[in-house]
Amino acid sequence: MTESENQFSLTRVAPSTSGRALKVNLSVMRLSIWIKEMAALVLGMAGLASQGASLQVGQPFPVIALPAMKDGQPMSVADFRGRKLLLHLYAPW
Amino acid sequence: MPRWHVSTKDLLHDGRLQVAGIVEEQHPDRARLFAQWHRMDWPVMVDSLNLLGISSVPVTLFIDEHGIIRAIDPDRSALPAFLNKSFDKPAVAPPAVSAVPERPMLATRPAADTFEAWRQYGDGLVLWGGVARLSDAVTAYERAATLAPRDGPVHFRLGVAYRMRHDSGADRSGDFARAATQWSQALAVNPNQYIWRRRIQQYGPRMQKPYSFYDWVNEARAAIRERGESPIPLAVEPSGAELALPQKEFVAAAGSNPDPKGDIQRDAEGLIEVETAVVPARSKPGDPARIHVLLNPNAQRKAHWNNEAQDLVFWIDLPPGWQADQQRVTVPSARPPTSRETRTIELELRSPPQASAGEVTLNAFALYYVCDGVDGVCFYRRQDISLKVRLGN
Repeated sequence: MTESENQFSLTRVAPSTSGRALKVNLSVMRLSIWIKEMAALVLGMAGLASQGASLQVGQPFPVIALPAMKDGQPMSVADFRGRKLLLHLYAPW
Repeated sequence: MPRWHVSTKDLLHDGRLQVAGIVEEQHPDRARLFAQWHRMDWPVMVDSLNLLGISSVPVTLFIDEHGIIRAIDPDRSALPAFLNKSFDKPAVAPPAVSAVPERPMLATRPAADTFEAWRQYGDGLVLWGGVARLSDAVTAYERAATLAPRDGPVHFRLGVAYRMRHDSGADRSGDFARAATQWSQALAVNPNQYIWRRRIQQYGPRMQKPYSFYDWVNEARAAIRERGESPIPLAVEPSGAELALPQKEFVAAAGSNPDPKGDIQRDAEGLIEVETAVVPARSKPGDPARIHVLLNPNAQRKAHWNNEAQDLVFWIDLPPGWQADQQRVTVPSARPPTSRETRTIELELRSPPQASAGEVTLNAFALYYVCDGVDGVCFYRRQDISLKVRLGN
């Protein structure tokens, strides 16, 4: 989890524009916060299984119709069956 | 995640792989802006209510052709093997339909007066009913919360519905504060739910923030404009709390009371309506809390700000031992001579560590120039504001 959060943020603060030093500092600061929060995240992963949805290898991904970001129409992971799917669960914040 | 995006482009192109996302965000337009910024051109579903129940993000999954999870947060080097493997069809087929009611079912209330039925009805109303059905969703969740007061998800979702109604501008009677209360109740049931905790931190004090939640918005807009595109507009701009950077220490500030004797005439006409919220809704003695004060010109009176006079000034009295990062706040006027926007004041308070549990009422006031749109008269007015801060563990 920690690694993937880090990867996520490094991309968020993509070092290709001006103000790079500030952004790198920001990402270092965030990394240190993630380290502090590691325990909470581990607990969070444990909670992942206990909170209704059970994301476990070998288990089906929950089929829940959610609004598509594009147009608000119902969409679920069942719409992707038949081919392999790379699914990202994320937040922009 | 966008790194995955780069490494999977060719595979997407030849149709061997599909990529999709589920975003934990209650403002879909913010999710759209984020996707535009990162050129995420694959389908994304919006889980505004945390229906999936996931308690941490980001998570990346390999899901096989039958809908079965084959890897959680795999290394990218594992992708070719996943693509080349043919997985057996499971003995028991995964469900093909959603548990959430879809549009045709939204016309009628649940037949059974059970917690599950009301919660599910609320879910359907939020997802598919639009702004027009948010009040019905609130009613449904409130009933569910009455029937099952220890259910964390229903408190979280009720908080989301309140906040959505607040953002819609349809109700200014205290939905933001109600949302904060519900999110605190949800977290009290399950303190390890990371998504719920983040929602409180989003609007909460800087000392409890892990990072700025929406500082990327302006960076994204600039990058998108640089590409010659127009950034997707946001219905609700991120607030001060949502943009604020974390802070390690509480820095107290003082100021002078702009009306110490209370001479300025009160806004007895109610030309400005005030809404307040304290986040977190309950804080430990000695911990900070963020105060949100929203001032809205009264729509029925067609009231509006008079911007040609002095700026709005806010003041809060502090009981002994209490601290504020701002005690006197000035809100600059908008540019046009008159305007009708919501004016927001955000400040942070810290109670004394030895304070006893319970509700403390703090006295504040705002001074402003406002005009009554009905008879066209403008006034300089004071409005006294009571802020209730709940202390406890």
